[in-house]
Amino acid sequence: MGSLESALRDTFAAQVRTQPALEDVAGRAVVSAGRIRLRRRVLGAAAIAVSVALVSAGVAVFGERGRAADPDRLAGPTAVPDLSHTLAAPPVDLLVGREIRRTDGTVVALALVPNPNRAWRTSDGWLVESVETLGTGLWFVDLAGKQTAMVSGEKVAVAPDGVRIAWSRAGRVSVADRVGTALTRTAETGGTGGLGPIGFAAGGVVLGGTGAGGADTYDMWFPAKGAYAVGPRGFDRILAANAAGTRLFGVTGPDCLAEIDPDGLRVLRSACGLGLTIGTHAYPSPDGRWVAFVDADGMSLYDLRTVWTRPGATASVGTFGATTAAWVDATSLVFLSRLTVNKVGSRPEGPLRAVALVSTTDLTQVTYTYLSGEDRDPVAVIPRLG
Amino acid sequence: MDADSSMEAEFRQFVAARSAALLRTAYLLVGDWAHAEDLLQATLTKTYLAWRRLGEIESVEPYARRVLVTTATSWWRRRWHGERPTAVIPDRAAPDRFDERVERQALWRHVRALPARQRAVLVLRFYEDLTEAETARVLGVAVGTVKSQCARALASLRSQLAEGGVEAASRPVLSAAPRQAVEPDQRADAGRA
Repeated sequence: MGSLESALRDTFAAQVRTQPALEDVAGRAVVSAGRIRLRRRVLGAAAIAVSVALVSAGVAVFGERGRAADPDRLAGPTAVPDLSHTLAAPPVDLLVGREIRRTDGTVVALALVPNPNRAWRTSDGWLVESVETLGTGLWFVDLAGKQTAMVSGEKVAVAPDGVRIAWSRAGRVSVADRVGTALTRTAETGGTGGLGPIGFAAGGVVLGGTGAGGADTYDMWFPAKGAYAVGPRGFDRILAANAAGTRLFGVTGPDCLAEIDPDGLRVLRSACGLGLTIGTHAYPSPDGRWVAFVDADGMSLYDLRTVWTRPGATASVGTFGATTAAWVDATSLVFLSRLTVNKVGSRPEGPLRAVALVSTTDLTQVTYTYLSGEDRDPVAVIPRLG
Repeated sequence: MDADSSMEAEFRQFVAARSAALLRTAYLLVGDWAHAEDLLQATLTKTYLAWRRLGEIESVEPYARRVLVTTATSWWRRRWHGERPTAVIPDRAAPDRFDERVERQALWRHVRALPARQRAVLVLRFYEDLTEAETARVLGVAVGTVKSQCARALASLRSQLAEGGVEAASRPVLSAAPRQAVEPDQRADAGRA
């Protein structure tokens, strides 16, 4: 046994030396399981709004342009929503546990999709990624709620047009166009060294995965040029492509955002000191002007016209861990945030999840719609494609 | 007592006995206590849903542990973004030397940066003290995969530590005495000592 292994034992033990007290986790599990059983009984009746707790309320938070909003105003007692008020539903569909909650208030029950993980709204329905026993699946759910398994493999990716999809399975990477529930124009390659699809850019498939030595590795495959050829591979992380697919955004060096040419993965310019972490996800706006970062610190919005020379955040909403985000249009971003009990005073329900809406035309205002903490199912906002 | 009440009572008994240990493993898998509680809650809900078919209570814990790990590795891909390297070493009551804490913190930071599956392998092998075969069963992968993931993770950690000026193979602080063989319950509780 080497010393690193011993050090790991010590480190793990030290990390859990103290832990928070748990309050009636058994009771909450029993209630949650009962709710899931109830939902399973009513699956198929998509028009029935299942009695999961969607409690909506709103609060506007004002901060100064160019500065993070005052954490106390967000986290203190005055930020606790008055849950007796109801606001309209968020302006994007939500994936909540095993159902899609539509903006019109109706619910699509995902009866067949195992462990829905994330979803995309397309012109004719939804694409839903599932976490399956041996990897990942992609399902198409039409507007009537009919669910069809499309592909399965280790990784799947969906293009911004909502048509092209890519997946990897058993060392092969495939890409195809989806027309309804059919796949056409399929192309396939091997030899990617375990890299699988994580996105699309410049007519190619962005590949990512763990390379030799365990480091994250990225490359591009251009199906129109034939089989995959090993490219320059590099970068600490590739975050996203812009809406037009002409540029990638990634992390290079310590905390530096890089704009990358997909063809050759060449860094065009970079900006450092943005507070990017391993958990940061990037969401470029449809018009290419903005990029939003969401992570444990919340959401930060950067103007891509100025960030390369003046990298200060244009708007920053902190104190809440943010998870997923989606642009409603060129000027409105919705992101999912997370509040904990100690952030909202005496509320007994446990973690709250909030859907926050921020407008790029009025950067000082953020509106929250709160999801009740009773429902502890995973939640994700569903971006609209195409 | 009807069947449902009896089942719930058994479940509550299991949770009372094992939830603290499961929470600690969850924390090591996801990196912060809030998400660890969410992960534990999801795990217990799935376990309760499966309670009837699990049969004997002795089979519950392996099932719960497997659900915990597979849920953590699937969440990681999209949902968990709570990791954040910290430059500040938190105060601890334990009488560690400062440099020991600094180096543990560095190692923990690098562990948190590992891909989810690699980290899960390390937690199962070096916190839960599972064998390679047991780890493979929990993760639902081949033993060879456990070996390769573990080797990659250790190589990555060695490289990261070396870059930071910490040589794991030579520093006494990172070469604590081998652990004694312990019973499974003691393994999970060892961190509280």
